[in-house]
Amino acid sequence: MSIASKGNELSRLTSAGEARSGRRRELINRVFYLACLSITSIAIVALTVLLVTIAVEGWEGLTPEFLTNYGSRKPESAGVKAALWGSVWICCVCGIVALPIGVGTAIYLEEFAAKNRFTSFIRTNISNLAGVPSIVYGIIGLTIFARMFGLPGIGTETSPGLSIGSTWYDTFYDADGGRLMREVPSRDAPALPLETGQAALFINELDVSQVADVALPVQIVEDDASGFTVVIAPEEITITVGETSATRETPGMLGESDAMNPRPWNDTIALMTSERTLNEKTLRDAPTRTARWLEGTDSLGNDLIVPVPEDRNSIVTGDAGYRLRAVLPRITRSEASSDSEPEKIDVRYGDSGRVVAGRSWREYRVAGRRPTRYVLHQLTPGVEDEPLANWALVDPKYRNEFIETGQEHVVADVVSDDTDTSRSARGTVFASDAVDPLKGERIERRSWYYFQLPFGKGVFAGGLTLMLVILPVVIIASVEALRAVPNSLRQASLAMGATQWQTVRQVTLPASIPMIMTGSILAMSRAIGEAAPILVLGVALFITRTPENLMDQFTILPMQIYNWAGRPGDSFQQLAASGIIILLVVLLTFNAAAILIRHRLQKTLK
Amino acid sequence: MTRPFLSVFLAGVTLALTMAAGSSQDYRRLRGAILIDGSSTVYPITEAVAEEFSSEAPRVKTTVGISGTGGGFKRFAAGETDVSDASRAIKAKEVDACTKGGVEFIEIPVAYDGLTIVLNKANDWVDHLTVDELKKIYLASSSAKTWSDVRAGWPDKAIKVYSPGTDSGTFDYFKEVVAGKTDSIRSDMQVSEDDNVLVRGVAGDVSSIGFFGCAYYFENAGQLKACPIINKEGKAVMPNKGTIESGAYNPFSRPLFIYVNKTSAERPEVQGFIEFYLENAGELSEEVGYVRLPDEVYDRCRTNFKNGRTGTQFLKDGEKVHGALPAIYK
Amino acid sequence: MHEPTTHSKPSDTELRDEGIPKVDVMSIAERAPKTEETMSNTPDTTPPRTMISTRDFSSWYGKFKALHELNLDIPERMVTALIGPSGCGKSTFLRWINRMNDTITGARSTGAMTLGGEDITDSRYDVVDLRRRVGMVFQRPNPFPKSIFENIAYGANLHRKYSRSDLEQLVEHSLRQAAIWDEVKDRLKDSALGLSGGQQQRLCIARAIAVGPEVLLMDEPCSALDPRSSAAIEELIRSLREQYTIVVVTHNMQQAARISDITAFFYEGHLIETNETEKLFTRPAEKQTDDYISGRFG
Repeated sequence: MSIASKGNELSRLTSAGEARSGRRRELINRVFYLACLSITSIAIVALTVLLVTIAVEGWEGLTPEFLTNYGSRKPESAGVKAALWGSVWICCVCGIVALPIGVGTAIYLEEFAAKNRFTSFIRTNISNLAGVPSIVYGIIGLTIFARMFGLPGIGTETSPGLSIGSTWYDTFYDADGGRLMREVPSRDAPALPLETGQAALFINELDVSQVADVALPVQIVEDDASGFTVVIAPEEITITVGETSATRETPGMLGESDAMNPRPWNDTIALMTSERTLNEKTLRDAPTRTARWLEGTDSLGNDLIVPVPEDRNSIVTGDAGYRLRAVLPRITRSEASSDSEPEKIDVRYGDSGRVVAGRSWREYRVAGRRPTRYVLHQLTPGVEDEPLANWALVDPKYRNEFIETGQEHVVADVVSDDTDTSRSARGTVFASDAVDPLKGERIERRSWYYFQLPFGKGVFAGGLTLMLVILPVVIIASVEALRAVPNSLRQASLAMGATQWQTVRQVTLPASIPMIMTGSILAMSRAIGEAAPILVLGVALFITRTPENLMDQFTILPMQIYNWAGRPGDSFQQLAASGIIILLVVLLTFNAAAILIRHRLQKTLK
Repeated sequence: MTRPFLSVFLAGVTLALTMAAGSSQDYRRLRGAILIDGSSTVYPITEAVAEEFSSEAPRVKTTVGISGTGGGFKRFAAGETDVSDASRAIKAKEVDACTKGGVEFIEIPVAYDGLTIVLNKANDWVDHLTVDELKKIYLASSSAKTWSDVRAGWPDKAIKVYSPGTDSGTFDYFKEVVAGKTDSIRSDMQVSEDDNVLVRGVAGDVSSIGFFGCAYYFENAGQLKACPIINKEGKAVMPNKGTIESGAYNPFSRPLFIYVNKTSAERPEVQGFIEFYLENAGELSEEVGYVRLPDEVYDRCRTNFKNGRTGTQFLKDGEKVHGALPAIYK
Repeated sequence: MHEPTTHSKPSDTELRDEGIPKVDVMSIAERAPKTEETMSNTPDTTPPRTMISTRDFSSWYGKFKALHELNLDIPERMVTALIGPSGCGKSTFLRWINRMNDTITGARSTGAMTLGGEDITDSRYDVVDLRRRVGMVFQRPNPFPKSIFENIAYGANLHRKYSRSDLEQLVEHSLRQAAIWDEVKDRLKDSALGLSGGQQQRLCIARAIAVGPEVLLMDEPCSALDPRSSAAIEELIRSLREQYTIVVVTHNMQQAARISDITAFFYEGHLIETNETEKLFTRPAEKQTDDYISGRFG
């Protein structure tokens, strides 16, 4: 065929079809354009109406209290504090875990794994997983993270097989409701009565009538609600009783107190504690002392007094040097006592023994909230407390022998009035019901790094469950992002002798990070609005605190909103709207942070 | 020994004892954590109690979940929770699960929930309904399509049927009363999880009928009218606080419960919480839209709790016990 | 003559005969200004040594045999051009020299290919080191989306740790060697993507030589460039042959004639003919070669 005939054939073919109407094509184009535009407008209008409705309804409820209050039956005092922080916590956990795992999986699939049936099977399944209803992930999360399949030895949420960062205390109360705590080695350690000499002290009042300096190995334990608790380290505490008359020359400090209710000048254990607990600071000179005192009140209203060193600034926040200026009863020698008794006796807090009075004896227990009332516990039931001419402290070290033989064995001096009635009253050993070792109060304190297996229904399990929900999306987004990196860049890097990891680390990943972040932002947005999987996990809704460690309980905004929206009454609907606004703000904050990170990363690329 | 010393000593003892007595009511000294889960129907009451309790006992951290009555019992039986909210009495199966899990429980009714059958305000033909008539309206096996099918003489208008979501405790309760175990509720209804939708729906259609918790009705009494129900005694009874409390409004009123793990109940903070619950359940349940129990029931429960009386009153030899709450808790 | 100095891997020094001037990054950096002098010291009369040699080398993509029993010797420090019609296997052959074909699933080879006497087709042979010794320049310029400086430093940093000043010197010398220094010296921190195509390709060459290779593979390095840029690259190639063994794949026979010392003609996976460029173009031994270079097909 000649070239000319070829050309003719071609021109015949090019004009063979029926001519399309130009106007018609133009019209179709126009219609399609308008259709797209109107659909977009409808979407935008619907979205705007939705947002405006929510804003109008919820705006009024957006008070500072709404952010700082916990849940409440009263709409006006209900807030989202627990839910807000819960949401923030689990989203952080979710993001921190999901990103490395998701991107790592994507890198493996896209950069390392051979393209074979197995990997394409995995890929397909990841795509399918992205469409699985989130409630299913809730069930998976519950089984895997919260319960860990109930594997033998793993324990349960409430009695975990492994826990790190928790301290156990036995708690006792004295007659005045003062709390005594003693550290115990573990949850399952046998409960010990207080008589072992390890009683913890919770000291409100001190008398200065007689002062013995006692250095107590105490530690302050921060208390979530009431400031702090004094815990005596499990060591032996010895208070030496002796005649100390120096401090008796401080009558001026007694103020208006009377004998019935003595208000000594410093009402408290002297605590060198964090300055934060010293709310009202006044400097006061004790006339008879060279030391100066810093006085304050803790959040429970207990007075605190801190000896002020030469350099006032040396009161360091969190300084753990505590001094207890214990005041002990004045004990004078009795006529009746035997000669061989020691001048000084050792009395331990929490010790018990027997009081010998005349020919009878009574058991006693020394306990501690108020060392002023150096307590001897009347333990014999049915016997009225009566003043006895001769009370005696029994040296605990003789106790066993004493009890065994039952014979009179007066080792200490008789406590009796000395000269000053009121003083001796305060200084007198008297009966009280002392420490009531309440049954089974074993308290756990968890530090910020508390960790347990199984995870239980805490922030960590919640975050991981949400991680499951978004992981497929993150992987898919990351795979797509890595695919979008031109292959020529990989080739260039490999051709220079880079390993695959070097190529990923320095070329592929930096180039794909913006897209990965975009995908992850979308995934996180989904996560933060999810209520179903968390609901299935069985987390609480009413909580009056914010998470303090990864295993701590939490609730989330969508659950709170869902609950409010389902309640009768308009005010709860408004609360729900306010909650949604907060949710949106949190969402936008996360997105903004992610966009910021993305920009940062992009900048370093340029 | 001198006199002054004696008197001061006695005074000291008295003071100490007084303070000791005062402190037993002082919830401030309680501490610890109480885990509660269960019915979302009971949730508002427990939330209210927990809220009030948290200001009395700031060191006790109470958490309340909404896993549903059944879900709550599952956790309760596993010993995961201290208290389980329930919108019905515990079932024999759940008792077995508790036994298996080594959980003994104390049953405490806390309030009444009432179901209200609601009609449009303009509906002037329905004076009352019997349970049988409700069956005609709601059962899947029924062929009634119009009001005239339900009772002769009523208008020939199609009935528009509304119902809360089938997952809700309210639906379960209604189903149990109307359909029993053998029958099922029709599926061609307007169903909504959001009771506010039901309120709007029934308020907007003259020939409609719906039902939901009394709390919703009391809130929206202006928009709808409640339908009197013929009770077991054959009287037409309107739902209100009086009829629910007396048990006259049956069978559509039900007691709500909390179940307390006996081991947990030995902990002072749980003890304190339950005591507080019983003290305030009446007032707080009314505040959140339920109906209080007669005082003697609360008293009885307080005694039961103090004595550690375990088990349910609603099962006898594996059979369900029926009857008014005050009679059961006599 | 220069003693091998800076390479830490023994294989590098072992591979290098003493008579061969060492060509590596540091030595470039050290003596780049003296390059002319150094090179002129090398006696021109020395017969070219074989750098790359194949014996019965065949290659497959899956079941498709892309190369048929190739026997080819590529001499050291000369430009060898591989010509032939599209799909004749010349690029495949090129990509075997630094084993870039490893990244293609189903690609395999038989027969021997040696670099400096070592069999590089051995699976135990360190590919990373091979690619350091055998640099590659691609058809389309593919600078990284990084700064000009980072582009050059990238390859060098893969294999060694440099002090900042050494790195700066290395970058400068590499860019000088690739005849692009004067154009980019004031904007080393700018993105390499802002350069023109020809500049990008020279940057890629600079990037390749910064690693200190012995061999440079170029896969149609000018085909995506305009004639002026091509001319610049060709000039660069001619100047680089003083130091590197260069293998160029090209479609452009004029270009092959201009820049190469040796030309090999591939056709349908077979090596038809190889000879000194001048001879091959003027007196082709095979008819297929003659047909191709005279434009009768292809």
